[in-house]
Amino acid sequence: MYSSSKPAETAKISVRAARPLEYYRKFLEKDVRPDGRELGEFRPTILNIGCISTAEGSALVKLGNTTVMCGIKAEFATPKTEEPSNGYLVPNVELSPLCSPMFRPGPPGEQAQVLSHFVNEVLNQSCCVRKEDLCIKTGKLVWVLYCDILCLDYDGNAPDACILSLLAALKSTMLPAVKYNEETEKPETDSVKTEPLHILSNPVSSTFAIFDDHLLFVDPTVQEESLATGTVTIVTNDNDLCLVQKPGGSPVTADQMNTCFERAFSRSKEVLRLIDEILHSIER
Amino acid sequence: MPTDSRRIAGPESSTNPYSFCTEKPRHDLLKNGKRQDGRKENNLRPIFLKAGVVSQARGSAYIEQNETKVICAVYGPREVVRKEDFSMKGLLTCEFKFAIFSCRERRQHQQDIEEKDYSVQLLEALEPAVCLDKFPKAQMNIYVTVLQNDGSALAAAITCASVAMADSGIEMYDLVAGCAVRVAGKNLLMDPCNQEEYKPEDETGLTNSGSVTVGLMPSLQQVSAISSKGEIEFELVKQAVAKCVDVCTQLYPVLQQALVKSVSERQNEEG
Amino acid sequence: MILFPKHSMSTTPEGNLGQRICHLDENIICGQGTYSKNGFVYSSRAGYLHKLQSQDDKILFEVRSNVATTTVPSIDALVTARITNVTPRFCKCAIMSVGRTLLRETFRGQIRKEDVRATEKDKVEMYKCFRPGDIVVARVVSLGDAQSYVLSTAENELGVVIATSEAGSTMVPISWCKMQCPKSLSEEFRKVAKVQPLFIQYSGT
Repeated sequence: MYSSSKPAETAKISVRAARPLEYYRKFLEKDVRPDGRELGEFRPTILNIGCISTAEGSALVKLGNTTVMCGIKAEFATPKTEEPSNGYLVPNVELSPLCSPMFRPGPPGEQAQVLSHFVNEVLNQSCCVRKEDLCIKTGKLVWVLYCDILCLDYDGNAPDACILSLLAALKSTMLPAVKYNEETEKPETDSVKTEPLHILSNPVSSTFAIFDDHLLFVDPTVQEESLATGTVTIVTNDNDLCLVQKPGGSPVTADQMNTCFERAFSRSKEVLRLIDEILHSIER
Repeated sequence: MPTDSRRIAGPESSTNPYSFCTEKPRHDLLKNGKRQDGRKENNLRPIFLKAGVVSQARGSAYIEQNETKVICAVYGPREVVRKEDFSMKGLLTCEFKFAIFSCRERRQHQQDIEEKDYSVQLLEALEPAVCLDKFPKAQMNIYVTVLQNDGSALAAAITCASVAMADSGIEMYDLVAGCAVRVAGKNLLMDPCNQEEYKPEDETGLTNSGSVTVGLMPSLQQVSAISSKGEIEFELVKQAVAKCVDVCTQLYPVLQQALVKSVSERQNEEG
Repeated sequence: MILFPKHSMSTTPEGNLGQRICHLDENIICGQGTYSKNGFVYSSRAGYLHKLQSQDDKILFEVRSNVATTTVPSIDALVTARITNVTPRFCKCAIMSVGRTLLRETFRGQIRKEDVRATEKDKVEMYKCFRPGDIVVARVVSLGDAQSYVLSTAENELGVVIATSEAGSTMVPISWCKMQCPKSLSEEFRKVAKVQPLFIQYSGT
């Protein structure tokens, strides 16, 4: 069948594949991206909270094609002796081979490990959940919240999607009411009554990609990520800065950083409004 | 247990809070001819099936049977990296995984025995339906993740994976529809939910208690997979299989509709 | 040749995977996307059913799908590949697309010294034909071994279509065996494909 297709036609398709950088430059000269977005524009964000009823809290986030699901499982554990009234928060990000051909089965790869640590840092730095709140009986029994973030479709910008899904899932988390029986030294779980988790602050992440060492654009797709010369991730915590990550790559001027900060804060407002809307619609 | 340095570690051990529930709910499978969720014996749960959900995959599908939610993505044909013998037939691999938060009990990161068992069963259900000779010396990889398990996960996975395979454009002899049935005494409960599923640990001494899962190629009317658990009389197994075959045949239009929708959506995208 | 130029939509049951299309008889040929079993013709793919008339007046059924279908390199297929490794006897490459279908993941291929061009096969010097990074159009000669496909560029239209000079800019072909860098004006040897002018026109858009 292929003998009928002419060599010239075969060559035609390879342009985009063989020269993606040139292809992108042509678009960016006019301040637009091949998918029609402006440089500072995020992809449409869709949020679904409480979609998994076997988890204590859950959320599904779609950032364009990128799809991430966060499920929170609560379990009992004994606290560490050095911090007897602190609970545990255990975030893990999984980039399964299901979500992209880049990932292979087996233990988590480099990218997944980096992401897990990033999420862990954000949780610890932002203090959005106080570990003391997770205490049931000092020195005896605390909650451990396993926050497992599963990527279902990887089209770039996993950090933003992960943090958003985590925050939304934490906000929807309902822990079963527990009484600690002093006599038997055993907990008693109420199978009906639940209590919400207190969220003290709202970390929101915004990722920027650096293109050709000077151009910055927000929310990169997987192809944009592969062409970028570096990325900057800014995590805001309500009106404060929580964390900035710039793992190497091209240098950025102070002016450019300022633009990024501004965009990150405006994004934070957009995202929090979205979460509130969805949470309200669930309560009703 | 060896520590896993690639993941964020939690406390050494933790227990499920629901194992400390003060009163444990007991329930009968059938009450006045009705099941706990109000269904009759033969009734299925409503099915939502959509193909083409993962943008990065060659083919993909998502299925929802009330609270059972399964996603599947297919990649390939890709080259076989490990040095194996030259083969004119393609290779099919399958990985079945329960998401960590998908069950009442927390699941582990690594594939456990149950998941490995399901992977093999799923592979065997799909292999007869795929034209393996169309992709010589290459492989297709099927990845299935159960996002939430409320029973009949394997049956849902079979249906979902076959639609995902067809969505990838690889040639197949037929689709495969999956269906499960719970056998309890003389009762056959179709499409069991989690509470109705057969659990060997709490069914001691009962005769005729178990479950059967069937994969059927509806157009060819060929069964590609049967697996049964528990202890069931032969006559009852026969009945159960016949019922499953019936249900799978009924499911066929649902599978086809999902595919047609995905095909025409792609047609529209390309103009 | 086409009997019914209008496509029947896949919403008609015939176009759907596994569906029985019709009885098999001596006047019917199973084309792509179909197979025969137990005296019937079945569809093996979700797509649109086409009923065509073949040259010897038989009816040919095909189910076509807009999803890229056969995506493994097959014998005689034209492929686009990127050269990854050049040795005196052969060069290795990564196949990026088959026919008009872009592959998401590459397959390994190799071009042996004797398959580079049709004439003067014994005088071929590999490093004067390909360099790592070049994009070539080639034809699959055999499925090769378990490792790689065997490709050939022994046709005028086959060979290097895009190459970067040592100075780093895209080169322009000046003969069937030479390309020139527009910046440094230096000339480099390549096994040049004849489609080059067309190609530059496309890459400009």
